[in-house]
Amino acid sequence: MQSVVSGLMQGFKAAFASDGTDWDFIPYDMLTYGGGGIGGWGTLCGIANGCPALCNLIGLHGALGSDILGHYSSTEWPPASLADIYWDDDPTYGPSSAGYSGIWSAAKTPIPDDEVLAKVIPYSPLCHISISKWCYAAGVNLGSPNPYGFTHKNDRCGKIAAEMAGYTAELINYYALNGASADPYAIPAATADCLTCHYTGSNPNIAPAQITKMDCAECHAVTPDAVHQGLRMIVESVWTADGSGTPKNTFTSGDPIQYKVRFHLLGAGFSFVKTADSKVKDSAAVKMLKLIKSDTLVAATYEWTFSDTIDPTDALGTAKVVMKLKCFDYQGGNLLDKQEMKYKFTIV
Amino acid sequence: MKKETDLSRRKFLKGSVIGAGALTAGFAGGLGVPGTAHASLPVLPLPYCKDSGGTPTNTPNASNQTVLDPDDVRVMTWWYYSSQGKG
Repeated sequence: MQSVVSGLMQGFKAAFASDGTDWDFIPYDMLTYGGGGIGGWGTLCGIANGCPALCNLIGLHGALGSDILGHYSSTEWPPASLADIYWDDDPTYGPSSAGYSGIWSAAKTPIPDDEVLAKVIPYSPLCHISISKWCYAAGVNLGSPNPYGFTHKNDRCGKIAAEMAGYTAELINYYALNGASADPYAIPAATADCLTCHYTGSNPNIAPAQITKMDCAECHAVTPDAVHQGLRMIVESVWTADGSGTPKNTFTSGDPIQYKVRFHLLGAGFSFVKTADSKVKDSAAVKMLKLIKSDTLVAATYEWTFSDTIDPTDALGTAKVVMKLKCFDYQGGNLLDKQEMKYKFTIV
Repeated sequence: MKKETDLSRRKFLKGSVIGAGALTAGFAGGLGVPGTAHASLPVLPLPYCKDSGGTPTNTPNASNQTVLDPDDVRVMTWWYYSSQGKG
């Protein structure tokens, strides 16, 4: 983490050296904590952590942070870029250059690209996954030395650091001119499919809510046939609304009220859904049951609305609607799945 | 009777004379209203480019001048990583 932040920071400090900016007050070693995924925990890779941290100093962590982690996760590492800079004949860089002779003599020599033991896409920004996957592919442990006076692991991670810092510099430069990211990250299709059910607002009992842009399959065996075999339906939300459909929670006698339920049917061609019961403190339950009993449905997201009016005989105070949905095999009539969700509203 | 279940390491922050004294001293002695010296602390966001006139800025514009050489950044990052033993 310290290396990518310091590499980028040095560029800024040099560029603004005569301008009297606050870059003069930022210490190089301010972000050494992130190495090894913080304290050897193997959480977020220090490189993937450090580049957005530097962007935070310039107010671009929101604009570029996600793209940086996406690039780290989806790129085959280590890259050839650093080795090319060192070993190629470009007089600007490498051991024969005048301007960087002191730098190269103090630094370790990067392994030539054709001697790198393995190249692996981590599919994760986590240090634990990234290093373990590469070490396995390369047949080394974290301390295995290479012929150039470094360890294979550190050659790999140092090259990732160099490339990610350079990549971040390219993003920053592009943003300076265009006000947008040069490389917007797109969530992989498989992960996006998981997010259709598991997201920040999903039903905590049926499809646990979560937040991520990571590849789910790195840690979860997420084939629909395995984990979700028994799941045919997800009730996402139940709520009440006024007569025009605007969410509303408090009603008085005579008010129109809409009972709403949103749910997902998974799979195709097998589902038949009905309510077994819905309880409101009036006769709406019966009406609702009749309304949807004959519906034949296919895999999709559904939002059903049942309109009613608050009855003068309804008791004041807290009322409750309970949506109980059952999913049947349309051909055989067998019960496949059943779920319910409650929602409270107030009658005053 | 309430069962004693608070065995967390956070106990070191609770109730000890030394801890309470340190907090008191901190609030009384060092954590008051910032003095004028704090006025010169860095303010974020810092600039990341220069405008067409050469003034540091963090406002995107097609006429800006970028200040980072990505390959220089790669070289310096490798140097920090491999020479200082800090990831």
